[in-house]
Amino acid sequence: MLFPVTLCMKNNKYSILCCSFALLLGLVWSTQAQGPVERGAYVFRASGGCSCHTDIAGDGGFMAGGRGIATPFGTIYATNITPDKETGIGAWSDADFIRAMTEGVAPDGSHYYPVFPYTSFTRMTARDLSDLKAYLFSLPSIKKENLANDLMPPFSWRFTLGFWKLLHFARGPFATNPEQSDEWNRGAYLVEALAHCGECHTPRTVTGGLQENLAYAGSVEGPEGELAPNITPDKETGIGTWSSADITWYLQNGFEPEGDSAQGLMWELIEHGYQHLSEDDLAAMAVYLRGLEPIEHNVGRD
Amino acid sequence: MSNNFFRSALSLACACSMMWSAVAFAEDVGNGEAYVEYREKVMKNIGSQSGAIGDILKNKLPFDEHILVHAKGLQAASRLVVPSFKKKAMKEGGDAKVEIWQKWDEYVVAAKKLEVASDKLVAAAEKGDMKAVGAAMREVGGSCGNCHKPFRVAKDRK
Repeated sequence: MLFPVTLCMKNNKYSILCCSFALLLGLVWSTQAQGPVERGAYVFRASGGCSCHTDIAGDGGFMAGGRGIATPFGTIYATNITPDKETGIGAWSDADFIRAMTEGVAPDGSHYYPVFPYTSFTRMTARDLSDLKAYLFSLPSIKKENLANDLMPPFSWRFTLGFWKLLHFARGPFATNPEQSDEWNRGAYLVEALAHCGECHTPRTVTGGLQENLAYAGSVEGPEGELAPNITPDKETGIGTWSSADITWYLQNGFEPEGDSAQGLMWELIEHGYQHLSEDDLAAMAVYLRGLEPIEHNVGRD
Repeated sequence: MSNNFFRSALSLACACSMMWSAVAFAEDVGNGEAYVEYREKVMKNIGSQSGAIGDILKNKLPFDEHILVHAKGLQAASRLVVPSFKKKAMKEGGDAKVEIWQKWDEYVVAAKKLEVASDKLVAAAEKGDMKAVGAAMREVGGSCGNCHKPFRVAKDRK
């Protein structure tokens, strides 16, 4: 680092070039200094910390599954995603992992229910997927059998999910919008691919697909029966009165502008995930959310 | 004599009647709205203090020295939470879940985490360590969120 700085001091003409080179070197070095496990931990947190895979109330092991997720179609039990080779995902190849995350297909060829948000994760970059797998495989293995889901027919028939995918699943990857800023695009990637905000905050059709015309406009019946509020910038029914700083602060601490706090699943996502993200990433998410089309959609009971 | 006896008996009956009315009032969930109103003010006070600290930090307002005042307000209010909920009182459309009183010991453990977090917040604010204030605010937020999940009715956005 000393060489370019000395050169900068001697010749102004080269100063900008040299300093930029030095900064670039530093940036590359700092990015590469983090291994895939560390980077994967960040991806894991950006996705909300996968808290559905830990049975917190039942003191289940970290990422060992067993947590029941109540949906309008019945209860689905999250699976063991620790590296245990028999009951977890320890025997999965890279290809198995990528297929599960981007196509919603298990190594045995069966379809996953979309309560596992592969519909969003399908937009993840190859590197983020690879890093995430490295992180998950670094966790302690826990031997714990998966529980059978409690669904009524026809929802219990997994083969029907193939038809569901034809109707409601568009495979990724994330498409950058060249007309928007880098910050907006980073925010879009975080919100749409990793944080999977739309999975809860967009209402669903009777067949369980996302109602695209009401994207992010809130859902009365979110996961675990919780209400997911309208997060479009509509001033009356959404978060249109929130500034970018308000959104960032909320994702860091769970406090709404008036001081009320997040609760339920949203707090879990903040606690185990979003609050660990960099200020820049949270600000990018705020930029993207504030740029959404405001949709008037009251999901309150009143 | 019999008159005195009659008066005494009547007074005793009135006193007993008033006493039992009072007991009935204390146990009657439907008549506890004044308690609910009070509790809501205590909780809103905590929200206001947290919100004020948030305003200063997130908007970089030049009021760093105010943070200690709000932190002490929050700390003091945190001590009122558990006593305010001792009486089982609910109202239609209210925020309190009946689980508060069904699982009182668990509720107390969850609610008291705010006391611990607010102590850390005050300590950080006294030192003027804004990084520690930020960390303590996350812990305050965590104590709110983790208590609200099991014990507060999910709120709606109007």
